[in-house]
Amino acid sequence: MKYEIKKIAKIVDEVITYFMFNYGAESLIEIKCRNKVTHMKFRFSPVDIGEKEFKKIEKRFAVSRHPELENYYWQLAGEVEDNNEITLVGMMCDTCTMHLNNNILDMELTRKLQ
Amino acid sequence: MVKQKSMILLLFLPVLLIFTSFFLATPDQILNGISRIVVSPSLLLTDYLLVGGLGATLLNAGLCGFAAVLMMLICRVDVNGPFIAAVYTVTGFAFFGKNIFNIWPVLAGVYLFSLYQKAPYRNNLLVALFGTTLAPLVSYFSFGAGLSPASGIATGILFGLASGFILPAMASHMLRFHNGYNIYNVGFTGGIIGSFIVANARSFGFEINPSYMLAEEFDLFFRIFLSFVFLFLMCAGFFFSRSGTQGLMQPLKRIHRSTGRLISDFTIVGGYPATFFNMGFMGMVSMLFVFLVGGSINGPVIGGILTVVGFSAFGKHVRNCLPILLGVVIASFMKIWETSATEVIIAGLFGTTLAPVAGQYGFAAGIAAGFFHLSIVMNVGLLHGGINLYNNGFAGGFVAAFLVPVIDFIKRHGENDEVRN
Repeated sequence: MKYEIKKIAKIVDEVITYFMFNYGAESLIEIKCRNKVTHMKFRFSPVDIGEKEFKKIEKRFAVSRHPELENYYWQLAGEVEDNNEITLVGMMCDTCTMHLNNNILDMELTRKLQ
Repeated sequence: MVKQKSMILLLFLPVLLIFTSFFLATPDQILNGISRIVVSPSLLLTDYLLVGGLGATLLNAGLCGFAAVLMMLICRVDVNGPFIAAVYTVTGFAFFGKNIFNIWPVLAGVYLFSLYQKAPYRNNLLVALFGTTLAPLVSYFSFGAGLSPASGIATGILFGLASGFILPAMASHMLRFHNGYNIYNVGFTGGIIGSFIVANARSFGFEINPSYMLAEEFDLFFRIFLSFVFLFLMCAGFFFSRSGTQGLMQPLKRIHRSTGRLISDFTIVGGYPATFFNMGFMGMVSMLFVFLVGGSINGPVIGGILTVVGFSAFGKHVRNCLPILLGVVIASFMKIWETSATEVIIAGLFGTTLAPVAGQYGFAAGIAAGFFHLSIVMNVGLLHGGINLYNNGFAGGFVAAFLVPVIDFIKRHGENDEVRN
């Protein structure tokens, strides 16, 4: 896959922009590449959202990988501040797990090299 | 199950077009008409209804749409918003510029790019399908450039392959020019490639200029035919939905809340039933627009309507399209063009490529986008000489790139620069 590093950077950009813009959250980020799989871990706090909104966000991230769309649209991720591309991030990742506990949101995205 | 049903719904229009063509014309008429369509230079605006007649045009459109669905099946891609838009766009433009001969070199060019990139073709299939915007390049050099048949066809195919080969890389890059506010991004890319090729071709003495051939006698037939198609889509959406109207309302609300900016896949936002309902509804809105401005339905207008319908699975809904249509109509009242002229009508229909501007920045911004779009689209066609069928996508890229930063700057005036806390 071409532009792999740039795509990972775009995913991180979009996720940070989304949580900073919408929730003013502070963040911790960890990115590791092991055996052709990139793990992106985020911790955002405080994220002041209810269960319903959290489920909505989770659903939008969990759209599963769509290489046929990612290959074309990836450059849009992280480009705009007040409009999000979190569905696109979901399409660029193989798995997405999210947990919300006491206004601390932990999130892990994985992306396999294809 | 849902995916199978949606694939059947996607096949509905191409199959209907193919069957209808054999009811309306004899095989001889169809064969002669298809031959005339295939050897036509196909530059924008060449109405195949005038070139090949009704039966042949319907068959051509049906076959092109069917080919697009077939490629989806071969590449095993799911039915989703972008691909629904692609199939309807290919079908719509097969009424005026795409045909069963000229689409293949561009599709093959993208395939060569995929081989070069060592990536599966499915990863570039979407760009390939939209990339047939440059199909007239193949037809022009094959049959309209005054070359001998053999060298003309070879040149045409070569140009098609070359443009297909460079399209995916360019299309992805061009998204950043307008940041997803111009939905027909491949149209913008095709305009850049087309302008580059045409400028160079003109330097070698080739004369490439837009044409203007429109059929007017099929208006009533298509009013009935298209109304049936759109009502069918609305009914399909309704019956698809497990709980009828009630089950459609919430998903439709979600769709209407979407800005429409790339990428807004309504099959994800609202699900398949609401998406098909929205497509049918937007088809009716488009027909009403043509009726209200006093226009008649011909090849390019059908292309415009079907493209709106397709993109109603991928960004367009009544809330973000209406301001654009209104902006184009207001512009036509104040500027030098007749509101009922085909160029103005298709500028309105295809101008909804700027729907995300209205979706993101509001009604007034949408009207401004439509207002400016009419002037830009009337001028940029000369650059590519009608080689790029998505002329409105080309114009829309410029309008979005011009308007969005300005509106954004005005909107943010006085905003606090600090990070929110």
